[in-house]
Amino acid sequence: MRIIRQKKADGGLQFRMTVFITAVVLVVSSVVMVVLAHIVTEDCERILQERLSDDITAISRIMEQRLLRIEGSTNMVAALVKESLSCKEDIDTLLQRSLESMDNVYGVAIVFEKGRLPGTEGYCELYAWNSNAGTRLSGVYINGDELEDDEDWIESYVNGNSSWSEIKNYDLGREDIICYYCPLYGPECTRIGMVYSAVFLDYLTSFVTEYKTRTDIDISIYNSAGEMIVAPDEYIRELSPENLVTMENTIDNIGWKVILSADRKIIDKVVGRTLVGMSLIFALMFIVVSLVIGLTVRYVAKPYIEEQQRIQREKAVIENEMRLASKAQHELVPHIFPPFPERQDIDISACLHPARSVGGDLYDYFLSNDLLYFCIGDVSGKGLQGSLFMAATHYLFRSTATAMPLADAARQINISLCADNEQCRFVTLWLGCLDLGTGELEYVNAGHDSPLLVRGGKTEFLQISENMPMGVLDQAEFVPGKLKLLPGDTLFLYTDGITEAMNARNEEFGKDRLFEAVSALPAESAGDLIERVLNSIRQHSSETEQSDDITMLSLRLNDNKTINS
Amino acid sequence: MEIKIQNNPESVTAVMTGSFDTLAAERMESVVQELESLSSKPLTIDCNSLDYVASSGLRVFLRLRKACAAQGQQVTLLGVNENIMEVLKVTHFDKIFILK
Repeated sequence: MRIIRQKKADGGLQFRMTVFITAVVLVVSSVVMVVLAHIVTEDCERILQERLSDDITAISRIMEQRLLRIEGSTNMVAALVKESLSCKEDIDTLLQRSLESMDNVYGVAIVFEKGRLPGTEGYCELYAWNSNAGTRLSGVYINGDELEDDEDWIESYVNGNSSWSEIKNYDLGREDIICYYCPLYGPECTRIGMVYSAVFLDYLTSFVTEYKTRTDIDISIYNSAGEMIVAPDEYIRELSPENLVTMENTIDNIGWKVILSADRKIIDKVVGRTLVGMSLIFALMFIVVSLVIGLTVRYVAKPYIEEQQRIQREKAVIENEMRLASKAQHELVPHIFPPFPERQDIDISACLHPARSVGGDLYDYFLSNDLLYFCIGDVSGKGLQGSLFMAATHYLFRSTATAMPLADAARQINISLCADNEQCRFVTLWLGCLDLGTGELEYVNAGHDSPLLVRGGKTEFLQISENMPMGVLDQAEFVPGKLKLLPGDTLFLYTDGITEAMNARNEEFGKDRLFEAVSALPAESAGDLIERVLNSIRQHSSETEQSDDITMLSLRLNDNKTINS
Repeated sequence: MEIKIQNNPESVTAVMTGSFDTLAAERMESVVQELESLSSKPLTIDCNSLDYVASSGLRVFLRLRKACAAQGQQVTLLGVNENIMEVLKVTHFDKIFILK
């Protein structure tokens, strides 16, 4: 039964620990997650803003550089063509080289005003195109009297400024193009025409796609006319502004606008990923911690707990045995009051309250014809060994008292107690023999506290001991004392557990308080007197633990009045 | 409770301080055993700083006396206070120790 209970207790402990640890881990990780989610969200937003800010600068610069390269190359043609006006072949070569020098340019062309190209009369256009097949074509269009109906051309041409066109699609099989126009001046600084380059938009925007796939950030680009050069994808377009993080920049020299837009869900995605990561870490930590705790419980705590349980069990066993010893000790001394109900002439009461479960105090009394033998004693040392010495004393008293004169009995008891007394235990013993017929009391006080005699409302301590305690010197002699008790006399015997009972202020109960308690009022009976002294001690040392055995024996010789009543 | 042992060539002195109660007697067991092993020399127990002796303490005095007596040596109690003297008188132990 005991073993089964044990296992249950262990299982319960492990279960409780597991539940407790799991709960703690869950609570802690939930709190950390919430805090973390908050921090990561804020951080992500800040990082995203910084990222957009950095990227938009870089993208603007790339755009600008690509545009400037085309502008530069076109301007170069305009500058050089002045020198080659007389030779169409040279112009052709110039155009070809310019086309070669630029990537992704569909073509470069020069439009001459009427008659400005030597040898022609109308508007005239010289060009170099990249064909669909990858070969370069060059040639001359003679347009006669009118410019082609192209608003850009006309506007740029009329203004005389270099500029970028709106988006065009000449249905050339590739994507849209835009053109850069640059005015052409003749040797006399008069305007004679215009040079332009047509560029595929994808040349300008190829990195947009790449960037988008890499970063999930959408780029839209608008030219100065507000035309969308690169459109945001449909998904982004449908999002409301509060769900977007955007950043805007203008490319100064051409007035193009670049807008970066990021879906806020990117942040959520990052936060989600972080939290998933953290959850995994927490789970891992939980497993590791559980393992560590499990192993600790298994190999460290469990043996410790088992040891504690073993000690508890042993303690319980010892306590049980001490309880049995205590019971045996109590049974050893007479404890049924009144002890001699048939005798009206004597009233005896006693008590023994050990400080530990077993004590070293003893008392005893028995009748042999008209002789009442009684004793009270205090063994040095308490606990089991003290109680064994007490039991030995008790046995020796019983076996010797009636067999010989009291002084001889005392000597015998002493000799027996001295034998093999390695630990030098000793017992202070007061033993008496009262002739109930005559009231003659013979006693031997072996180092014990003097009893009190209450006679006719007067109380006094008997003469102090003339003898040594028993168990000290085997050759010791014991001098007996004699006293005649009168009817109504009470003899009160006690051990030093009473006079030395301490209160909280470390004051002993003392002989004076004992004297007062005993002499206060004539006691109704021997039992009453003991009860009164006990109450007085309890009052004195109510707050302190009993430190010594408390033992009393009260003996009252009834007078005739008491007997009659 | 404290016991200091002075092991002189011709004698042994044990200086006892504090209260010699049951607890002290249990704690001082090893010191008492050491004193017992030195019982071939006369022993003086210096009681000048000893406040109180319970019966367990008296028992230790008796053990030391017994050990010394076995080797023909005597035990002297030095400077016992009034309380201790009363205990010694009630128990008549004043007769088996030399008191100074």
